[in-house]
Amino acid sequence: MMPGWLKTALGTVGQVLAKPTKGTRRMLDSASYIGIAMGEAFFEICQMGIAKPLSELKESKLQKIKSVDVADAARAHNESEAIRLEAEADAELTKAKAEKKLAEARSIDGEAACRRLKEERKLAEAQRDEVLARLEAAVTQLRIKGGDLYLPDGLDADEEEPDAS
Amino acid sequence: MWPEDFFDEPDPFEFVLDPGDAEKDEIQEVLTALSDLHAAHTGYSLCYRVQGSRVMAHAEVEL
Repeated sequence: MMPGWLKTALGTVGQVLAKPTKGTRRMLDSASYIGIAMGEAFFEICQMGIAKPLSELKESKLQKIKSVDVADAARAHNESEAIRLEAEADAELTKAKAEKKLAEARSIDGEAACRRLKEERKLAEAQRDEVLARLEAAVTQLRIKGGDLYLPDGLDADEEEPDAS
Repeated sequence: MWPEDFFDEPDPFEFVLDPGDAEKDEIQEVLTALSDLHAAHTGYSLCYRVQGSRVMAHAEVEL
């Protein structure tokens, strides 16, 4: 029996293939996202010691932080991100058209699509591990220079209410 | 498995990056890795706005 998330994903892919939109890439690749809320991810990252929870940051330390360097780096990141997105948007439109043609040509076989989504998910998990390792290395370098990263104390927004009954 | 709001734009969040004596590219590496991690989880990378000592991160939505 097909799991619920897979049914949702296949339905979404079908819809998007039928009518490509600006957000096509994200929808098409939806199975390749981990689907874990960021609150949980922050919690995990802090548990692993990669970053510290924001609640541990003392107000006195916050006052001493030199935000000018951070602002410069943020600006540089935003600029390179904008360039990357522009290039990606062109490529994605081409990809969406190709996917649509492919789907029309062989009217997606359920089992093959299922296999493909599972493979994409595995790949996404591997990519996420790779990114986490990069974040850890970058924060380690930051700590060598006397800095640190403080992330929101996770789970609050996404935590399920305990059953009162 | 997926929450109902899976395809909604993720909420912005605030964090603090203490740069110490790090160089600009070292700080940027942290910001980029965090953005890529966010993309791996939600499908959206991040843009940043610095407000005082805090950094506001929001999902980029341009395509």
